[in-house]
Amino acid sequence: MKSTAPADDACCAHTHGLPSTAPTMRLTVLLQFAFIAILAILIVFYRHTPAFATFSITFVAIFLEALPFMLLGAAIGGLIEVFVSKAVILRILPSGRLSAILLAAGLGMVFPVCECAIVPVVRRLFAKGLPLGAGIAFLLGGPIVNPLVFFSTAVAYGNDFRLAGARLLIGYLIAVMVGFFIDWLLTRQSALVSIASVLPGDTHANCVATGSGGLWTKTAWAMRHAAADFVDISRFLVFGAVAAGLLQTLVVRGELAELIGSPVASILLMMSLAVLLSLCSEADAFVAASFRTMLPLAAQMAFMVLGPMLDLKLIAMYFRMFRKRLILVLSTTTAVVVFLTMLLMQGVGP
Amino acid sequence: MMAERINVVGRLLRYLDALVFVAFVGALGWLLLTGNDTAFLHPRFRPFLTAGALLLAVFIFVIVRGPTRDHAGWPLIVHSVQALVLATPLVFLVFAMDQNMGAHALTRKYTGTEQQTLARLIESGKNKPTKADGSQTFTLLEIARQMKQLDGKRVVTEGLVYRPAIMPPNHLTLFRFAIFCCAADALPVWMFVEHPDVTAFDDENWIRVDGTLTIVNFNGTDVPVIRADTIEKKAAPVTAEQYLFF
Repeated sequence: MKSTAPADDACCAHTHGLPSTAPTMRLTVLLQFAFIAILAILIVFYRHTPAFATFSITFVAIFLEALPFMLLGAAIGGLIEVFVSKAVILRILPSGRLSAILLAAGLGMVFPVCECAIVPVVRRLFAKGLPLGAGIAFLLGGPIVNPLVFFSTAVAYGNDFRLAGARLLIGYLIAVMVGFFIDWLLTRQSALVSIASVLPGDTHANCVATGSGGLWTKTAWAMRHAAADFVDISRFLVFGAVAAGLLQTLVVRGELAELIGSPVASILLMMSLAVLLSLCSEADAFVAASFRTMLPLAAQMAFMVLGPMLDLKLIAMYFRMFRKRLILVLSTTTAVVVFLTMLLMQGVGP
Repeated sequence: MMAERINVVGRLLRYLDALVFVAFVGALGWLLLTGNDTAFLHPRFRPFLTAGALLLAVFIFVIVRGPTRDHAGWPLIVHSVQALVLATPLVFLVFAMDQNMGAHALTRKYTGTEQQTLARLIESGKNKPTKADGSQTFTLLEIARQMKQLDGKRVVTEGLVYRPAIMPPNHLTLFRFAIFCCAADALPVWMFVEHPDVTAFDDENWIRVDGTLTIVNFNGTDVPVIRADTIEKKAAPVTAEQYLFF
């Protein structure tokens, strides 16, 4: 089943084969071996220490929590790949760039997904021609601008629905701003990784088969795409969960908070924690609320807005969708916009 | 014989993804059937884990029934390493099942303001000051949520011991973790226990405390303190029962 056929956008949204060069592949394999070796060393030498208990429980918990949503996201992505054509995507979206971004940033209200599920979905949507800015807006806004996050935030803050609404509104506005900026700055070609490189073993012959056949055949192909997506992206979830587990094991939250002397520093601290702790957007409000008497509201909001947009596991997964240039621009822009927004909030807030 | 073995290995490698998925389905099934999922996740995640296991079963089916992949050369190595990386959470799952989040995790997660977070949750108004059956046994979470109603009343509770050097004499910290979604977002629920013999207990001992609840101001925060009549060591609960759940 090895294919040598070229990409054909008329039948599928991606190219085929293994585009990685041999040196890149070698380096990737070596890095993954090194990762496995480090984990093996941790197990062999540290498994009886209290720190190992904290790390292993946190790592496994983050992975298990994200796993069902990653699977669901991959399945939705597979269904999009097979059942939704480029023409449909382009027909659904408004033709104007800004209106597409405005719509995409709020899609989470009708399509509630967490940050883990959204990555495989957006990746498939990009392959189907979703404009860059709209995709970024959905990616950033979806995990915040959704009803589940609204209610969990309200509960964490003692049924404070105004604060929960403020979180959604701020998340929406930042998603729109960053989406628009990236759409203006970069092109799809310069920003996106070809989806070809993420489906090893996926062949053009298979893809041609995808486009034909009955409902059962198409669904089976959708699930094969989903399985391949899951294998590919969930590795990066593992990397992110390990990093977050290590940092949760090493970082002493109370001491960090005690170092804070100014609102600016506290906002920066909470932004850093949001990236490092990699919590689910539906649970992070409870952790943010635990800082309520130590830090200003703007700092807590920085934690709740930045975390679902940018954390270690997300950054790791972005590598399977975006080129390094976009990851750098996206991370920097999002962090700067969140910081400035929170400074503004601090200035005008109570 | 050797050729047959090579052939078997080749076939196994062809279905590497399916094998990893089988391991995941096995792990999820085991966690759900034994109730050990609560060693990591809130019980409300069970439907999601079940759905995940079903999706993995579908993936296994379509992979096994689908066309074979070419695993020659580099792709074989690349795919094998990917599978190994993906399997690492399962390896850690095995080790984590023998572990508990204890004093080390407390020192990492503690901010000192957890009581206020819990106090906000009181405002839901769902809490009753005493149990319907008249029992005085409460979880730490119930006490933290209802401390004003329980002020001056007799309570019986249990948790882990933490006695840092800075603790005042005759005091220890009693704590457990309460989780909203998963152990990564666990919030320490803690209070002080006052008793003349606290030195008999070491960090991470599980104890049962029977005493009278009072509220003191600690660093500007109302904190429950149990003036204990008796403290008993008790066996640690199984890993799956170590957490309290919101």
